[in-house]
Amino acid sequence: MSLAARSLTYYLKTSVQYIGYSIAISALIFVEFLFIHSGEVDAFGIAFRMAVSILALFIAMLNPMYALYSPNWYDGNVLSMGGRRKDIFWGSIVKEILFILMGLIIVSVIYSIYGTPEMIPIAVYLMFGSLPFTGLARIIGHKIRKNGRIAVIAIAIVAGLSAAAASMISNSRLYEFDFLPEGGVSMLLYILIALGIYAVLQIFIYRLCSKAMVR
Amino acid sequence: MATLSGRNIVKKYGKDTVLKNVNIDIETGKIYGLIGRNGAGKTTLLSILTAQNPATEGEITLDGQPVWENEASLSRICYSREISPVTLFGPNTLKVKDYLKLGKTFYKNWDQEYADELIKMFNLNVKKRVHKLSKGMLSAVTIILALASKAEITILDEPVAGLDVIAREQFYKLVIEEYANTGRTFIISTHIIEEAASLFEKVIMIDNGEIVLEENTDDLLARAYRVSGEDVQVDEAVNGFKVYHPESVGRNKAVTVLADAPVDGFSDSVQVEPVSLQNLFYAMCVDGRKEA
Repeated sequence: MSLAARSLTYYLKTSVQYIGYSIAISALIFVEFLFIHSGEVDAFGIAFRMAVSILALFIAMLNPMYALYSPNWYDGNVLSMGGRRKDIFWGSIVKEILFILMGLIIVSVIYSIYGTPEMIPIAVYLMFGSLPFTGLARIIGHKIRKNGRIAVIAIAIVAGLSAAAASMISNSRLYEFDFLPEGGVSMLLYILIALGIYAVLQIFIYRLCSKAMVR
Repeated sequence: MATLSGRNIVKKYGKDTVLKNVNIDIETGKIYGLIGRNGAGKTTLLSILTAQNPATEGEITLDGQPVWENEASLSRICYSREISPVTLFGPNTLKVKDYLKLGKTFYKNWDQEYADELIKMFNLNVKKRVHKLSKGMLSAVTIILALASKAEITILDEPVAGLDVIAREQFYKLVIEEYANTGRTFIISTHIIEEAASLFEKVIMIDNGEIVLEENTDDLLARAYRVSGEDVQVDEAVNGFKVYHPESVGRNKAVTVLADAPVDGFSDSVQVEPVSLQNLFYAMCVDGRKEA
């Protein structure tokens, strides 16, 4: 097996591992909701649908989180084992895209089986919407690797303030998803824009990846 | 015989120049010792030779082919470095078995049976997480990864730093066995020079970012002496030789001499003794050195 294939195997395994973690956490949430809604009619259905929705949200959140962590951990490990930077670059793209695609398939199948197919478009928006953030997170991950804990603290403060602001805005609008375009046609455009931004970010990631070092 | 070569390697971190125009040739089928003080540039040099870090200037080749991003070269090298128990985001929670699985994934000649044998030998609990390992156990993991990789060129950075004397002796024995059985090349950087000296066929000494010596260990020690006696007579006897680390007590003086070739006799009025690799290293690298 070539070095490129070995690196790809590693990233594929990592992607499947992420999905495993996400499902495991959603399973715990399912149990929790089952307790909360015990005694209600269709408690099982409520808990299941909630857990699946959280799974979709979770996958969309985990992808950028892992991307942030990746240059310091997964990529560093591969590099220290004699992996090539270009294999790390392509492997990471495969890992990130496969993660959301696997998530999307699992969530869509469950939504279809449980008669809530109207939730599938939201899952699509969530998953593909996470890709630009994933690219951005990888860039930040490389910067953290270079600049250390100070970068982590600065990003944590900015992210915390942004989350607080977003939460307040969202709360004032009663959690309406008014940023979503109306009509089904624009979903394709949305996906293309998300993929386009993700692709552009890869140019910067490639440059950072090509100078990566084991620390 | 293949050669891992570095030509005009310069490495700068900001304003600091860690490696200054280093030239090095590692011939396969030998055991090399890389010795140098803390911060001399050993780890940086090894990282650059294995393409784990980029050089600011210079070129690294294996059999004339570049090592950087080259599968053919990288597949022949294993650089097992000290595992850090902490990461930037907190403790290193990776389990030992998962770390070794990484080795199995990436090294094409990985020998799982041998890895299992070594795990037993070092009494390593593979279910433990890296941050919970003692320094000795961390060293054991580094050694297991390096040896089980079965890579043609195997590089170990401070492999025995945390090991007790029994484990260190086991390690030296394992390296000799592997070398005898496979003819693999080992490059071992270490501070524990005295013990490992007999292991090294060739020694590379690095000081302040420069390679000060790269030579067959026996040949090197054959031309190194400790000359002692009355100061005037010592000075007279070593006149014209490279002298390191002169020590004086009253009228008595002792110096370390590194001649260009083995010397038949200095003078009857001085005592001449062989010098160990560690003492030679100390004499050459200690502050305030001077040449005659």
